[in-house]
Formats: sequence, C-alpha cells, structure tokens
Amino acid sequence: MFRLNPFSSSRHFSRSFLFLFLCFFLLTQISLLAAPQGSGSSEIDRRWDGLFGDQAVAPEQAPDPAVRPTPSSFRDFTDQLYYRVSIDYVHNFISFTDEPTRTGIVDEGPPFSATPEGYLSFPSLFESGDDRLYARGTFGTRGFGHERLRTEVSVISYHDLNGTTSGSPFQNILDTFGGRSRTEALKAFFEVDGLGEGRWSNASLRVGRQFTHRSFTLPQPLGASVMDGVAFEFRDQDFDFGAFVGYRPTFFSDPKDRWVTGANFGVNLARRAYAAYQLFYYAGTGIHSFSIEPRWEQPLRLKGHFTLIDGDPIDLGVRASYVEGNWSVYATFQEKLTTHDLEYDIFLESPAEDPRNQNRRLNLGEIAESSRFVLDVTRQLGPLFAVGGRVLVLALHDEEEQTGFDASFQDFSANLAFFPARNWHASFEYRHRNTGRLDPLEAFFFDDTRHAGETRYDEFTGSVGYRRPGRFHLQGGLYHRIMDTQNRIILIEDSSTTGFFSSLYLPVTRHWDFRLSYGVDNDYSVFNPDIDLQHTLRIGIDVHN
Amino acid sequence: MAKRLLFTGLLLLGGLLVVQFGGLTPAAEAQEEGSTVADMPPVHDFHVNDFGLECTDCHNLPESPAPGQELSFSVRPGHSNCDACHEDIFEEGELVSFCMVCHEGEVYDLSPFPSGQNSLAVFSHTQHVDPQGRVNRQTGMRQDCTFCHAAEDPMAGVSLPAHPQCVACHGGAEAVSPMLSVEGGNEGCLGCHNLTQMDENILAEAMSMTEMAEPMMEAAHSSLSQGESYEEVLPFPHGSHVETLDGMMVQCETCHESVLERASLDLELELPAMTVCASCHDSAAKVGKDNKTENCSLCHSEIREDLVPELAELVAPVAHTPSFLRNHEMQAHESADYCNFCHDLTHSAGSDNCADCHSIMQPESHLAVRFNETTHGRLAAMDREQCATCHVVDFCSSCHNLPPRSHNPLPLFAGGGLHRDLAAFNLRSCLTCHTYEDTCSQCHAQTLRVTE
Repeated sequence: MFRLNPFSSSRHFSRSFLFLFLCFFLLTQISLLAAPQGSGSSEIDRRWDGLFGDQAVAPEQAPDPAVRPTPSSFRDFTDQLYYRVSIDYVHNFISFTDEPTRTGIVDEGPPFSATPEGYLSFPSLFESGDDRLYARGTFGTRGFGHERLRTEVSVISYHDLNGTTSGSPFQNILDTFGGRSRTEALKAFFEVDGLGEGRWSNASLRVGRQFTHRSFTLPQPLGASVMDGVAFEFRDQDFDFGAFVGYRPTFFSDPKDRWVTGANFGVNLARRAYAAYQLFYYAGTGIHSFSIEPRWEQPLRLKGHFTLIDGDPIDLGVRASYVEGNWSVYATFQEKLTTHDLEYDIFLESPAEDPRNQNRRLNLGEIAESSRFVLDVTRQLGPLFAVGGRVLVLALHDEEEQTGFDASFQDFSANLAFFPARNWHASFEYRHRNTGRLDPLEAFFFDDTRHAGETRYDEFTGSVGYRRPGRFHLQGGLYHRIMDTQNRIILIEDSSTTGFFSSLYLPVTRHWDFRLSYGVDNDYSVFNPDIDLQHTLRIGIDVHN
Repeated sequence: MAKRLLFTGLLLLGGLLVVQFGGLTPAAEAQEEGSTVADMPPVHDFHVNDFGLECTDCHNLPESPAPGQELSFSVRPGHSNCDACHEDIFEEGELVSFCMVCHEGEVYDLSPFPSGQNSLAVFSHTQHVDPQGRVNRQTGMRQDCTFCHAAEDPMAGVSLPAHPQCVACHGGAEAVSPMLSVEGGNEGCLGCHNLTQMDENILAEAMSMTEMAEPMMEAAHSSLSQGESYEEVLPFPHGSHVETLDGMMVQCETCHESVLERASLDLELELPAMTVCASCHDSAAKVGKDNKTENCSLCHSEIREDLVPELAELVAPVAHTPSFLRNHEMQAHESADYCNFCHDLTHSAGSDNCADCHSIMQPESHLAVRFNETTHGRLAAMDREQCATCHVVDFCSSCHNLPPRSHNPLPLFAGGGLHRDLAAFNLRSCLTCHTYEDTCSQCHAQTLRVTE
C-alpha cells in the first residue's frame, strides 16, 4: 500500500511553496496578458465560411501524420522493422612491475608461500590477460500488424570468454555471483500510439518491459531502471499527462519492494510557458518535482525547478542556456535546501536482499546543504578554432558537514578545439579541481573519514583526429592526470597516471560498421605499485538498418 | 486621354533630345556595352512613377474573361502595347537589350514570365487564415491554405494566389479593402502590388536554381551547425508532400510551423530544418526505402563528402564540444529527433527519454581495465549523480559485493593483517563498503575508535 504524503510538515516547506506559488501566479498572469487577442477574427471567419460553404469542416484532433505510424502489410515488413546489433570483442592485457602489491602480495612461487623478503605469493592476482564479449541488440517494428502498433525488444549481453582467477585485476560484475555471462532484457513492450479518434488519438499506451521514466525529466537521476508494467501518456498542445505502474525487475539484486509508480502533468500556459509536476514513488518514498519553463522564440532558455522528497524540500534551482551563432553558454544555480536528499537514487530505499549479496548498500554518506553554481561557455572563433571554459563551484553551507564523498570544491576547465585543415581536428582540455577539505587530524574516531579524500585533481587531455566522412575516422590522443589525497594517517601528493588512446571507425557498407580501439595506460603507481601498463584492445561491429 | 497624349508628347520630345545629344538610343547604347536585363531601368517603377502610365495601359483586360476572372491581368503586354512609345526600336529590327526584357536567345524565344512570384506590398498570413482551421471534406487539407496555395504539379512548388483567389474577398459588392478594381487609376492595383517587388521578380527570373535554393538549404542544414551549407539542392516537390504513402494528409504546418503567424511577407518564411524531414524520411515505412534520408541524391544534386552526416561523427565544432557533452540534457529533452538524426542507435529515444542512450553508450573512461580498480571510486566521490545518470544503485552494490583484488587471499587479508597498511593508506575506500560496527569491531573493539 502506498503512502503518499507530499505535504508532510517541514519548516522549510511553507516558505518554498509560497515562493513557487508566486512564480507560477506571476508567470501565468504575464502569459495571459501576452497572449494574442482574437479581435477581427469573426469577419475573417464569416468570409471563409461564405467561401467554403459545406465543403470544409472543423478539423478533428487528429495526430500529425508526420509522426503517426503508417498502416502495415506483411510485404513491407522489412520497411517497418528497425534494428541495431552491436558486438564487441575486448582483449585486456596487463604487464607487471614485479613489485609487491600494496598489501604485500607477489607472484613468486606457489600460492601462500612466503618469499625471503617477507612477502606472500598469490599468483592468481597477477593474471595478465582477459577476453570478453559484449553484445547489444535492439529490434522493433513501427506500424506492423496495425497502423498504431509499435513493438521493441532490447537486450544486452556480457560474456567472459576465459573466466577470471581469484583476485584477478579483470574481475568485474560478471564474477559477482559466480557466473561468466549475463543477459539483461532492457525492453520488451508493445505500444499503441493513438487510443482512438479525436483527442484520444493523442493518447498512447505501452505495455511490457520498459524504462520507468519514459516521460520523466526529473532532476534526480534514475539510471536505466526498468519495470514490467503499463504506461499511459496523453499529449496535446495544451497539456500532457502521463502515469505508469509496474513491477520492478532487477538485474543485480533482490529488493523487498518491487512496485514502482509515478505520474506527470504538464500544462502549456497560453503557449508562453510550460509548467510541470512529476511524481516518482517507490518503497514508501516519493520524489515530487515542480518545474516551470518560459517558452519564447529566443536563444536564451530558462528552466526553474523545485524538488521535494516526502515533503522535505531538497533542491531549488534554475538553469539557463544560450545557444546562438558561435556562442553556447550554460549556467546553473542550485540550492540544496536540506540534508534529506537521497544518498544515491530512490532505489536505495529498498536495498539488495539477495542472500548472496553480502554488501547491500554503499556508505556514501548524506548530502549536505550546499549551493552549486556552474558556468560553461564555448565560443567558436572562425572556421579554425573553438574555445571554451567551465567553472563549477560547490560550497557547503557548513564546512563541518563535509564527508569523504561530499565537500566544497572549485572545478575549472578550459578547452580548445582546432581544425587545422580539411578533415583534421584536434582538441585539448585542461582541468583543475581544488577540494577544500578540512584538516584530517581533526577527525575524532578511527572510522571518521569526513575530511579524507582528494584535495587536488589536474587533468590534461589532447587528441588529434582525421575524418573522411563516410569512409573512416581515425583518432588518437594522450591524457595525464595528477591527484593529491589526504587522510588522517597519510598524505599523498602528485600521484599520476598517463595514458594513450586511439580509435578507428570504418563503415564497411551502408548497414555494417567496423570499430577498433586501443588504449594503454599506467596505473596510479602509488595505489597499485605492482601494475605497470594496461592495454585494452576493442574490436566491434555494428549491424543496423 | 489628355494624360496619354501628354505622355506621348513628352516621350517623343525626350527621344528627340536623346538622339540629338546622345547620338544613340539608350537601348542601342546598352547593347554596345553588353548590358543585360539587370542593367535596364526597373520596368514597372520606370513606367508608372517616371512616366505616369496606368497599369492597364500595358496590361490589357482579358477580352472574354471567365466568371470571376474579369480582373485577371494575365494577358502579357505585347508589341502593340509597347509600340506606342517604342516604335523606333521595333522598326530597327535588331536584338537589343530592350527586347531582352521579354525575349531571350538568338531566336527571340519568349522568356518565362515571372507570374509565380510574390508582388504584394504587404500581406499578413495572420489576418488571412481561417480562425477555425477548417479542412476540406475530401482532401483533409486545410481549406484556407490550399485555397490560395495549390500544389498542382507534384514535382514543383506550390503556387501563389492570383486575382481569382483575392477577388473572393477583395472584389465585388461586399469587397473589403484594399479593393481589387480597375476604377480609379492605379490605386486599385497599387493597393496590393509593389512596383519594386515586381521589378525584382523580373530579375529573379534570371537567377539560377542554385541561387534560389540556397536559403532553403541553409535552413535545412542549420540544425547541423555546419560552417558550410549545401547549395546543390533539387527543387522541393511540394505536390508529392501533400500526403503520405498511405494517403494521410501532411499539413502545411508540419513543415512550416509558424507560417500561420507570419504578419508580414517581409518576415522570412521559416523553412524546415533537415531534422523535420527526417521525422518522416528516417522511416521506410512512411516514405519507402528509396526516399529515406540516407539517399542523399533525393534532395541533393551533388553529394559533398565533407558534409555527409555520419553516425556519431558529425563533429560540428560548436554542437559537440566538451561543453555540450556535459550540458546536452535540455536539448535532448526538447527533441530527440535532433539527436536521432545522426545517433541512430537512439532511434526510439524520442519517447524513451535519456535511458535509451545512457543504457547503451559507454563512456570512454569506462573502457580501461583500471577504471574498475582505481578510477571509478574517485570519480564517484567527485560527483555521484553523474554515475546515477546510467547506473541504478543495485549495480554498485552488486559489484562491490565481490571482494576487490586487494582483499585476496581473503583469509590472510582479513585475519592475517594484510589489510592494515591498506586501511592506513586509504581508509575511506574501506568504509565505502564496511562500517566499524559490522566489520572492524569484530576484532578491534578494544583497540580502535579511541581518541588518539
């Protein structure tokens, strides 16, 4: 049984609600005043009426044929089928330094044997090669069987071709439950687009496995969560409405709560603004999101949003984008109003309960009240250059509230794109991040890691590419990253890693593409002194219509 | 009549003066210099404003007009109209630039008459469209659009309205202003028509198809943010776009979204971007295999390889900068077709939102082996919301259920003290999965968690 209580008591709520209400009221009034008036239309109406007589009739609310599926026939099945299949073979290779691991393990003899230097030998940690296969496939039909019917199946499959040893560097999610392969059906649904005539032609119904947030644009990320259920959607020029309910199949856990539901309602305010409310409800927790977005023929776009979780105000923010000519500017300001935000996503409310799953949730810690500001600007300078930069600042309201995963920081980056000659392109980016952590020695208990973590992060990336459209695209580049970290016992400075990456994209035919990528890097040696270079070779093909 | 005599007299006097003092007629002079129609004085403006002619002096009324077409000035001026003033030129019998106003080539072919061009001074679509948007019972098309803009030839553009359409409201006993009438001199004609516009139309007739099509292609490719644009485009066949293969009507507003709100002809007609074309032409079911967007020659007379859209490789400088990669959320929500046009693996993203992309597209950073072992935790510590864009929390806990490489061999790591150095080195990493209560306190209840 669901507990919907979006208006539970909160000392912050009334103030925020008042603010939001005022915004909606003002915008509505402005929009209505600015709406075009209908003066003079009656004379035109009468004239057209005299001209048309009974030849013409008032239009029904029929869906635009440009977006409406067409009738089907078996003969045209291939025309109504769409598909894309991608298969990737990945070969990983590691060379080792012969140094012991950070825990003193070496590869010098039988398992559990001690070396003269006092290290322990455990060879399976030093597996040097691994082969995997990834496959993704999406198949669907539009208008096959019935003009309004759409179907789609989407599957992802992973395979470890040669297994991994215990403690291998290549361990991954496939090894979690002892398997070497897993297949996930992300989507398997049919959809009726247009449930009738007139206004009902703007309604659709989707049944089967599908993403939970088909119609949602919640500021809270929801990942690729799926459900087996039903989703209804209605959309016309004046308003839109959607609702869904379903059983949540999971690929990595067995949570106690399975039912997930939600709804959204948006209204077009005299075509001058769009206001929306969205609800996502799971395991006794509801995310409520209100947003408002002016609609105008301007390159500047604004969107304000306000989010509550179970009645607790969480986020209040505004986003702006300006894309015009050679400029693109994005800016965001967001206020984290309380500490009641979800530590990760809403599905954390019902953690994994699979008996094989000993680790049911990560301890990322709560998210503190903060202010966040982002400004991201790009300017194209003639045909040869594009330059850009970003400033991202997060300031906790109370620095004492910082945790290992949440602290005030300033993140700056600058990038340059260069097009020196026809078909050639190059890009460079430098990023610097400074995290304002407090003195880790102020931590009181042994397990107090509030002030532990990265304090500086620098990254430089450069790449060069040559592209012959329709024939191939070759790209290669380098990156170098430097990091400082701290905790109460040790301070690590200038830990670095350097890597090279390259890729080739080659369309073989109109329906077959070939991909090849190769990368090599050295690990942060301070964390993994035993690992020297890691190579990744990836060969892929795409088949599509 | 007096005005006509006065004009003829003035013209004769002027001609005499030119012959006496200039030695050559203006037309002959123009021919010597190799001038063209573009170098001639503007025909309509010259005759009406400079010489005070009435429109009907040159444009005869039809002798036997069909009902409702009495005011259709479709009869093109002939030699007899020009002869009154330009008799001397006709008598010379030489091909001069004067003749090129109407003729072309060495055999005096009659040039195409620019009858399909707009020649109005002002016109507001907003004031003319049917407020009810009524549709024709038979065709299903908007009756007001097709009343004025017929698409008779499937391979050509739609026609512009002519007098028979205008007279429906602007003529007759209950006519609304401006009145379509030959009474009252030029006022009836110039109530609607602009002389300069008509003269420009004559020049425009000489423009190549490439020049005419350029604005359309600039609009079509504007969505791709290319520095260059296609110019090699075939004429757009409006007539074949009035209905889909299965006979369903395509409304004018489907492509010309804002045309009904155009208050002036001075405002440029909003031409559809190529993504609008793709909303139908990406589907063979809707347009047939041969008419899909991948068949470039359907619209383009010449295929420029440097402008061919390519899967995930469009690399328009502004469109796909690092800034855009971090901030494409609003654009992606706005219209998936925009992304879909090139990223065809997101073909169904239009209704499925972000997950269709983010469940498939693996960032480059994830490809390295090292990402699992070292990198991802630090990125998550910087911005866990970024992980949540694609991964639900189950994914994290499931993978973290597997003891990391550093924990092997597990008995010795846990009980043999191998974990000590690692815990000192990076305790935060330990406490991501473990807590003091569920792990550390099992053995260290008496030694840890004390003030140091």
